[in-house]
Amino acid sequence: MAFRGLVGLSLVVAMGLTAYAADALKSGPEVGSNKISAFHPLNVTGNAAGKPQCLV
Amino acid sequence: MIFAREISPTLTSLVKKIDAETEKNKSAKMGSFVVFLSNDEKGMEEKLKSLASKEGIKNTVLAIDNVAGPEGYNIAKDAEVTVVLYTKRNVKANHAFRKGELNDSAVSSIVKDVTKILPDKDEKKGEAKKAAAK
Repeated sequence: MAFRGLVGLSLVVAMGLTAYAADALKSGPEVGSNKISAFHPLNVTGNAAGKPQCLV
Repeated sequence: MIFAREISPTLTSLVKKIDAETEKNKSAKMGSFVVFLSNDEKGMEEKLKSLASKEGIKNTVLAIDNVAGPEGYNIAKDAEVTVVLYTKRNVKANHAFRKGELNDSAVSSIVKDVTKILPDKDEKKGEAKKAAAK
């Protein structure tokens, strides 16, 4: 009986994790990636305020 | 590095905390910046100047880029806030949030992840040795 309850709980947890993974938003370079390349946004503050300058 | 689409109270709280972490970790050469993705460059520029002065943001640079984000960064259209923590161009942590998802608990876990981009004890020892040799 206890075993059956444990299996049921494991299934609920597994389903919850799957739903969470499917819902997780992916945006930007992923962990482990080296895709941090130069780009030049308009700096509003800092040393280059008022100019497009790479901050990477 | 943070990409955001709008200024909100929770984002402001995150930026202030990252600004404080940047100050605290100056010796580790930590840098930080927030890129606001907007097509209204003039309007956003005024808002950011006001934000920096009102909130006293001194170490985190505020910047503006186009609404799609920089090429090759794959910023999702529905990502309101994307946080990328990296060191030596290698990504150590990534947090992405849809509109309304960034909350205090998420801000805390981002700040906690800052340790992932700071030099560990061995690296610090190596740097100290190099400095002593000079």
